[in-house]
Amino acid sequence: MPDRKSKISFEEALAGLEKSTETLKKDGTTLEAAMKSFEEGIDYYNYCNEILSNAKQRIEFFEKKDS
Amino acid sequence: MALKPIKVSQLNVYIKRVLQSDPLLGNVSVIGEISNLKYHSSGHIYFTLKDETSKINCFLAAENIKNIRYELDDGIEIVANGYIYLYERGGSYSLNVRDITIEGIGNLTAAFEKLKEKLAEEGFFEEKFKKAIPFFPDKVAVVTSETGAAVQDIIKIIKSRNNIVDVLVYPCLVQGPGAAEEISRAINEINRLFPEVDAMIVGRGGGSMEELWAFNEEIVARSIFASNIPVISAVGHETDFTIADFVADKRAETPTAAAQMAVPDISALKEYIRNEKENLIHSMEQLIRYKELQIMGNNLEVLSAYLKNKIMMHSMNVNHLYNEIGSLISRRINDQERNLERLKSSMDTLNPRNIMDRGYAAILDANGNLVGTADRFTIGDKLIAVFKDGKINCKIEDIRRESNAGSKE
Repeated sequence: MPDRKSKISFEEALAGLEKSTETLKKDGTTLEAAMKSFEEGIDYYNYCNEILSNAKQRIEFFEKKDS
Repeated sequence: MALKPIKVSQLNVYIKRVLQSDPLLGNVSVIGEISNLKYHSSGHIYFTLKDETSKINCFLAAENIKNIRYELDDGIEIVANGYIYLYERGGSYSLNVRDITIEGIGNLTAAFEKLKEKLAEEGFFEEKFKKAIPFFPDKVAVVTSETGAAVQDIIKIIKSRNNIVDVLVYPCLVQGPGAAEEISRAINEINRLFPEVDAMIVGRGGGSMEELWAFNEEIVARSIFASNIPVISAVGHETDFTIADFVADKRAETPTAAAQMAVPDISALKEYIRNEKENLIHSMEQLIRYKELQIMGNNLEVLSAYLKNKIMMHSMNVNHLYNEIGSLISRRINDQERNLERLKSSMDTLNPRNIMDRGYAAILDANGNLVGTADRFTIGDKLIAVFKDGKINCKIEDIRRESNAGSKE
């Protein structure tokens, strides 16, 4: 999972986090499945948070070479 | 002073030379209303310009059409710039048009509607071609004037919401001649040079219809439509609608709104995922507590309490049924007693002794059978008369039959 994580987009990670929460809330989830969802959810959260905390913004003006 | 007669062609050559050497006629701008507009298969456009009293034929060569910033239509008043040209073969002259300008809201609106109609027919505005604006872009491009207020607004809003996304500003003219070409080229170039861009904002701040006109030109519409990168249009104020707005994947009312549309608010997102995490932890705790309760529910003490409870419930039920049956039975007995009473009173009214009280007696034969007719007796028979207070044994001495009753038998 951590290897795959490095390639997924923020949207995918966010969707993963939402899905984990949903699974946990669902009636009849087994303890095993719940533990798995929980761990995944926390992973997704950490991944999202990492992206959101990475202030890497660059603002550039394109310079035309011809006129 | 008259010359000797000359040929028609010689005359036309002469007139042509006179007309085309005139400095005024070599560069003239004419105001008039378009009529008889014809698109020839060669690519040239022919039309007539007219005013209240006069008209002139006009010719717009295919190679000049790309300079024309408006969709033409009959009835639109234009200013056509060009030179007077004479066709020697027909002996007719026309205005050879180099450029056209349209002024006034009415005429501009007419040209706008004409182009809108044309592009609608080509399917440019159809919902199925609209691309979704990515929710979390890595890079957005901005096509607008480097010096306008719009670019400052857009950058300010993006920075205030999002410190992650990269921004590429592609400066271009946004009004006047050549602006549409620059906007169009910018869109094409971004697609070609920066395919990684997730979305682009194309627009400018507010202005008059003339100032916004570049965004109503066909060349811009075509570039937006062809763009692989989703385009958010942001032209002027919320009341301004341009052709670019209709073709764009999403229209923003203002450049500020476009910036909000293009990038998500990072602090709101942080808040949201924090919430989701809280939810996750809360749900997990809840689940564990629930499982704990389930396990606790499985020990002997709880089970015996449960069974006791169950037994008590059942015995209460039995008691209840017992009481119910008792009251049912006593109600039944009451009913029957009342019934008996009723029967007894109706029997009383039918009791023959009641008749005997009034002086009647019952007649029995010797065998003790009740006889209700004189017919059964003959003289010498014995009978018993039964009164209410005793019986008398009798012997028949005489029988008087009543013929009426007898003959009926």
